[in-house]
Amino acid sequence: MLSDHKRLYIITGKGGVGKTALSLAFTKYLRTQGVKANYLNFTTANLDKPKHDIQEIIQAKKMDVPLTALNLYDCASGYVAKKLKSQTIAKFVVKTPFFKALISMIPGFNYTIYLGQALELLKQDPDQVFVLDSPSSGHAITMLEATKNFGEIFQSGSLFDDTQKMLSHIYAPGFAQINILTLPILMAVNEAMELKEQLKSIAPIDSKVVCNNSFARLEGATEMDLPNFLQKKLDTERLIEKEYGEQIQSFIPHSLRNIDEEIVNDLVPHMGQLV
Amino acid sequence: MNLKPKPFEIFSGTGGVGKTTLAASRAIYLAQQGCSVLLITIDPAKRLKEVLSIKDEDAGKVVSISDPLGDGAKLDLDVELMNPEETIKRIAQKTDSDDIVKNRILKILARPYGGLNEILAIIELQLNMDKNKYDVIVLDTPPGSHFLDFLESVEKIRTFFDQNFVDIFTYLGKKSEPTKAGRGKRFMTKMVSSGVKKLLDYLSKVTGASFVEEFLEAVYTLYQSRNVFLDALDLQKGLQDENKSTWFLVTSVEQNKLKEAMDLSEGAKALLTDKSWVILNKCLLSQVEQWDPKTEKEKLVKNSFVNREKKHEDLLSSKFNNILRFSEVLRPEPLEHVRELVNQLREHKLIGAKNG
Repeated sequence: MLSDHKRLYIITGKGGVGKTALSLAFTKYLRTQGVKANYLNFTTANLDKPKHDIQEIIQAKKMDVPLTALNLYDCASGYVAKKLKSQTIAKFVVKTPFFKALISMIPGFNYTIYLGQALELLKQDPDQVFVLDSPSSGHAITMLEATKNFGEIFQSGSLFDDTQKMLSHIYAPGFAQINILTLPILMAVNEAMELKEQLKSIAPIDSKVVCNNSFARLEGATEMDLPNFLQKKLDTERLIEKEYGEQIQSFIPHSLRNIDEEIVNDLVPHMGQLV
Repeated sequence: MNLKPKPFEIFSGTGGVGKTTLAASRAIYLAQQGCSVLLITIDPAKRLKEVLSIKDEDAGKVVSISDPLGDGAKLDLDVELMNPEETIKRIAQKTDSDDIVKNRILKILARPYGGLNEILAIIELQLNMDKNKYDVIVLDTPPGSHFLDFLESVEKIRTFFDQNFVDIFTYLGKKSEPTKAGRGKRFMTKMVSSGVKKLLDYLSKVTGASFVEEFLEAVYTLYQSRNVFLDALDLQKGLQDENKSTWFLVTSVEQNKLKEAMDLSEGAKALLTDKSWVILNKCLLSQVEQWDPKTEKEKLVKNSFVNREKKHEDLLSSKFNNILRFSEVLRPEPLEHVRELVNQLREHKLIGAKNG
């Protein structure tokens, strides 16, 4: 059993770096270590989109990865119900166009609602751990920047107070960790470094930069007689390791598989680096 | 089929597929062909900035670039990095009122990751089109979780002004305009008298009373500039007219983008016509096929690359008529990258685009 794990792992990074596959693999890995981890997905930024339409959720189910899929509408109405002490009124309020406009216009509001619910679930079950497949780097910042924005937007009132409480919870030492995922391409690594700095200025959470899809780390790759384009890929990766090696905490090898489930299973043995 | 320039060329796709670089390359290519071109990027990551070496302080301004490829050839190319705050200033100029600039909440919403970004992008596009200066506006859209997020933002404007508030505002419009001084309060009073008191009461228990008041004022300010927003709605028609717009839906063989490709073909059904293009970027097949691997491990690597690309090919050609392939460019410098893609665009033109 893994002893020094966090309660919440936020996997973030640009689109296409492999966040979903890695989050699923990491959840699987934690389970093999006896940790009660669930894959957590916030993709439903849209109030009306039904859960069963979401690719990531379909994939988690297909692979038997324990899953927590939250619905924005349910989370929001649960929160409002607690404040107004009535389920019926909460359902009415959340369904009004005004409330929907509020959610779609205020940056980070939807993610705050999700995160609030996730923290609630973590509180209810002290053994539970979440691996959050964060929508994209911009959104992860939006989510955490909510403190600052909400302070300015709401100024006072119980929503503001609750957000503050929520964030102090997340910022507690040892509670959460952000894994910034990137690819072994110079521009992508630069962007990941920028993101790390940005996050550092917003949120006091431990963060790691993880380089996914490293061809150089593929077993035996360096001994191969490679064609020009793959040799160039290797050279770029060596350059990155030389320049950024100390700032990148882990390198995950490229997978030769082409089917999602097989890629995820390929990744699992390397996930110990992410804890 | 030929890729004739049209007034709008929109590059859409998920992040990391090379959309921004492709849009920049297309803009440069069209400028080389003698078109007057404006390239707009609304990608908050501002990668275009790196690609075309534009300075931060230029964000929100149209900048003329005389020699984007650094090869001395003279071009007619304007570039703009979207800056939501600047767009709001332009709206203020157009409506002759600076309320929209001053409103505290709107200021927050106009931040780079704020909720008004995509709506403001549509307005920016409209304002630039009104200049009647360009043959082609090439638009690089923000990477959405969904290919069509950007277009949905137009729908967002419609919902916002139609269903949410228009009834209330029509009611208010019949009465006299509130005076500048006590506007927030008087506006509130009217809202309350119009029967939404209960809802607002409930809401203020959740968000705090002062917020509800301020949010209403922000909405009211937006409503005063509604014509600018509603004008932008007309743009949607142009964007869906195949004589006026070309949509490029960009996907890449790198990583496993097949899932996105599937989403794309599903979500885009309503929007795409026979004239839309799918770009399969970062293709390696021509290079991989020349490789003659010796060891078992090498063969495994080769097969993996070949199969990955063929899978993408098969899926896309079963769903789309027009597929453009771009080869992977392994050059570290963004400028070299763009140069290489411009060359590939030129080749596509010469051979005529392949018709899947």
